[in-house]
Amino acid sequence: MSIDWFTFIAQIINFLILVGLLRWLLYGPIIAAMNQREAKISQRWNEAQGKLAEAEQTVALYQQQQTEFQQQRDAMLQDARREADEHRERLTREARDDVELKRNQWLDGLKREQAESADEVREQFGEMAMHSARHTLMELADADLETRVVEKFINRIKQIDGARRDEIRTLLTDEATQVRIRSAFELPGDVRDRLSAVVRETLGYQGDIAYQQSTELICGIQLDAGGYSIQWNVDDFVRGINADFATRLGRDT
Amino acid sequence: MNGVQISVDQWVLWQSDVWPMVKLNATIVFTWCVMALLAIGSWWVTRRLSTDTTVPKFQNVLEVIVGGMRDQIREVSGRDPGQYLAFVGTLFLFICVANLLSIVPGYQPPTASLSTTAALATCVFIAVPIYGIAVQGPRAYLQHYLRPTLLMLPFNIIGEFSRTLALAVRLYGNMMSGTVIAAILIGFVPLFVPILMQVLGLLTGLIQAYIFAVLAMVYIASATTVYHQREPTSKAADAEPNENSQGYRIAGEHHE
Repeated sequence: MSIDWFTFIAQIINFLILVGLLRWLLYGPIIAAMNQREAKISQRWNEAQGKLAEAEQTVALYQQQQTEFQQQRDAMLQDARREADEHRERLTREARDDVELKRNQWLDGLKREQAESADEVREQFGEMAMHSARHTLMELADADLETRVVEKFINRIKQIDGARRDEIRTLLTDEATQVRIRSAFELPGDVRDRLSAVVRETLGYQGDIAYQQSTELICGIQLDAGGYSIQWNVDDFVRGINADFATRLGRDT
Repeated sequence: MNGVQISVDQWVLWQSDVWPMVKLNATIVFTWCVMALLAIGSWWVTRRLSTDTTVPKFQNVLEVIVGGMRDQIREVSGRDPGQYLAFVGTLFLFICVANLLSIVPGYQPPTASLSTTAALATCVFIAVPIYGIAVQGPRAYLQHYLRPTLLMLPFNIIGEFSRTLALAVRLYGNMMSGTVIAAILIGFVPLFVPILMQVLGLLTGLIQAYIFAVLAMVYIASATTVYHQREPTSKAADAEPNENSQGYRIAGEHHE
């Protein structure tokens, strides 16, 4: 156990040379390579992080756009649904108004047709009634129907109530007032005289009486004096029956 | 080499006639072999280094070794291993390879020579103040021999020498004993047992390389530790000084 000093010094020199060699050949290159690799990995990591952030940003953007698109779609659907409802309501209202208008037109036409039919029926019925009455009177009483009509008219003049008769009398005191008797048939001369006598007697009229024949009166006779009128004709009965008939017809329809 | 030689220094291959002191013994020759192996191996691996993510296997081995040494230095010293790696790493690699090559027949590890271990310990002995002065400055470095008191100056100086001696003798003793025991056992039990002793010798050699390098780093770290005198925070602190009133700081880190 001794130290060889030449070897001692030689080993120190050898060690220092080895330190230099390894520093040049080993530590420097290896550490540089490790640092470069670390820098590369760090750079790739940073790039990956950047791309990841970019991807997340893109995803967020797409999600936002999708949400906005969904909201727009919902809003458009809602608007379309509301417009469709409004359009349907408007069409329904127009259709209902059209139906109501046509119904009213149809009802008016129906009423008009009913009225025309009623008038026609009334005229035919009056003629039939007059014909029937005339025939019946001629068959049963053996008397002229027109004479009976005149008799009935005379009785009606005579049976005017007192207040009304006074009004007519007062009216007929005015000379401007003229009495006119219209009949559906031609009155013979004696009948006219008789009628004139009854008018003068009952109503106190002294003027001339004008006789006219009017086809509007159905088998009847009518006295007009200054706004008043006294009449008897089949038309009244026919109108009464016709009104009742029209009422029943309207109720049936 | 006749019989059991205590030191490999005595295995002289060439000696100068003019200066008998100058001789080429087995220690120097095997040291050159180890140096050549390390240098050529390093050159061969590092001539085509890959900086990509795929690394050749030998480069990977060297990176693991260098990275491991850097981590160990960082762990022991608590600072950047850059300026210590060449010295401490070369200590470890040289001792490690020199010891592991003892598996080769006819090879004698240079570390079994006290001259070699003393040379390495002397390198550490010289490197410690160089690093200490480089980090702290000469005044601050020399002042740490006076700590904690002036009376500790001789003990500190003795400590410097004794630990250098311990470094040299520890490595020499372990390696020399392994070689000697193996040689003796071959005489008594020529089969199997020497193989086990060889394996044990490899383990011992590896451990000794680690111990030598780590101790060298510990000495360097303690020499480069920067001392700071704490400012008193109050009169009470001045009145009752305690052990916490002083601390030391390692460059870059703070320990108490």
